[in-house]
Amino acid sequence: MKRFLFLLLWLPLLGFSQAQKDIDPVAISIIDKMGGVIGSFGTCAFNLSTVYDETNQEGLMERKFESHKVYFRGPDKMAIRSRGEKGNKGYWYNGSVLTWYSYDENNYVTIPTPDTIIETIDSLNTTFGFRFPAADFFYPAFGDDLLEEFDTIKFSGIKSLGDTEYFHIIAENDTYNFQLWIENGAYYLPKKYLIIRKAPELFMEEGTFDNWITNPSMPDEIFEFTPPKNADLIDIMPKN
Amino acid sequence: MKLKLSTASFLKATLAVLFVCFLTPLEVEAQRMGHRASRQTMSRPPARSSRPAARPATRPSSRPSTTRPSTSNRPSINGGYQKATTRDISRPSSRPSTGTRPSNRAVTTDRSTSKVTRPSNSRETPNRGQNGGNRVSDRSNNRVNVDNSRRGNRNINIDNSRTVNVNRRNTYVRTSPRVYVRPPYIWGGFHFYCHRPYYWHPYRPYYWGPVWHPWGYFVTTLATTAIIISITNDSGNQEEYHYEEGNYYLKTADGFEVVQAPVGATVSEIPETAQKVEVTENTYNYYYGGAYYEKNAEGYTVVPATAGTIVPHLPEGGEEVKVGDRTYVKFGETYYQPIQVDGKDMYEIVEVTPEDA
Repeated sequence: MKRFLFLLLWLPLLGFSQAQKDIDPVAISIIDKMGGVIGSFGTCAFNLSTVYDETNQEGLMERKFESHKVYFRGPDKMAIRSRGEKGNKGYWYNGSVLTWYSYDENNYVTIPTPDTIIETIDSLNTTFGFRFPAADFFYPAFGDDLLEEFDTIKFSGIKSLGDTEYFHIIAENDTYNFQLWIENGAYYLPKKYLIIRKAPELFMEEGTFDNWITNPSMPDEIFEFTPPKNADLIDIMPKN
Repeated sequence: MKLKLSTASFLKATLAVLFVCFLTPLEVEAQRMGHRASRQTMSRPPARSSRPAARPATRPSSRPSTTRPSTSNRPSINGGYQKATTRDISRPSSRPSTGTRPSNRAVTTDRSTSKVTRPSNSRETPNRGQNGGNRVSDRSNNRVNVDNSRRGNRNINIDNSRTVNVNRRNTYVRTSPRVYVRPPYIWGGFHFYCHRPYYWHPYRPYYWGPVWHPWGYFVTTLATTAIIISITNDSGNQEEYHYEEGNYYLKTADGFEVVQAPVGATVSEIPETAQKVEVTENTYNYYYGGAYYEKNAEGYTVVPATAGTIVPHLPEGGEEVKVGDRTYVKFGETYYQPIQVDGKDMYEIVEVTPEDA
């Protein structure tokens, strides 16, 4: 009898972890189309404006703003220039090392990297906590990632932002609400995203894409970092 | 009966393992979302699937994702979009991660790249600084025996054979006696506590005048006025320091090299330019050349830094470390946070504690 009681106590928990998903195939097909277009780019550039909430040094929740200019050249070149509340900084990835440079502090960190943009983004995020702007969208299996992460994914209709129409998709699980606006046009490019973390503490991040340039010519030089005069090479503490 | 019991134990153990597997995240968070599906295919070059077109409708548990080659001849920015060819979207996802995660390549200490550094997890870890490896103990329990018979030649012998020895340099940080009002900065499994807000300013090593020398400074000879301070380290070996005008030297094959002040050493005088720094209300240390001194009847004893102490300058030998969004200056295990007090750039000694402490 004791053994049965043991089973009964555990089974509901096992069942809970395999909750039924509610996935809208229309939403997934739109996301796949967007992913397919992004994956077809050999090079691309875009601007991204982000808004997020963060606890400040006084322990108060504060809304912060940043803007980024992003340049990708497949498979192994990336350059990002970021300005905002967390400083004026840049990233240069040339296929073998990534350099993070602070324009405010005139110091930089150089880290050996894996061989591709996505592996580098993933590795540096995991090891050093670098959060590259809108990196989620550039993971090669973005649609599958959403299916793995979220219990509900819905197409919420066509919405207008300004003069343009966008497909609005909402995904949700116990922890996150993720919303995405994808351009209703030939390219299906992402326009805006919203991430709301519901637990353990409320967090919000919103990003807006602008000035997409697809497949432009990008010379090697823009992915190489040359230390400015008197810039200091500093150490870095890993996240884990 | 025995068999029944072992079966029950096995069943319990299996269920417990299953439970843990279902509740434990398979991967750590990457960016804002997890990317388990991407990780299964991320490191593979895009290639056309070689699987037959006709496939069973049910998805095998460890099915690899197929890849779609990019339609462009240029290398794709992400290797080309990839998706599972059969998605049973009405089913709960229970696919285990079988892919290889990108390697977090070991970072070398070559200064062409940045050095990766972490605080020590334990306060009792020997410091990594020069001449490190000496055990630290609570100074309050130690009695320093000064051999006055040798005062004549100005050599001070600290007999540590009767005490637990204390040589830890001053890279060890004592806990702040004041309660922190500000929330800690959290990074890498550590809490970084400070009384004052972070205010970045560049680290420019300070020189305490012509008689002061930075750590690593080398001289072939010392003045006859230099005194000798002997300290027994954990290994039972005596280390002999030569002290002169705020500088501590260790003898090398060719001469003498300036090192950090050894914690526990007592000297009768320190340079007049030493500054009085507040540790707590009514408690002060004397600060000179990156060393902290407590005044007592015998003179000035080198003590570890106390968290929360504010100093106006830092000597040469510190390393700037990017800790998340902040840049601290690190000496051994001592982290200094750049701050501003009444418009002046200063540093506060950070109290670093493991997150799970």
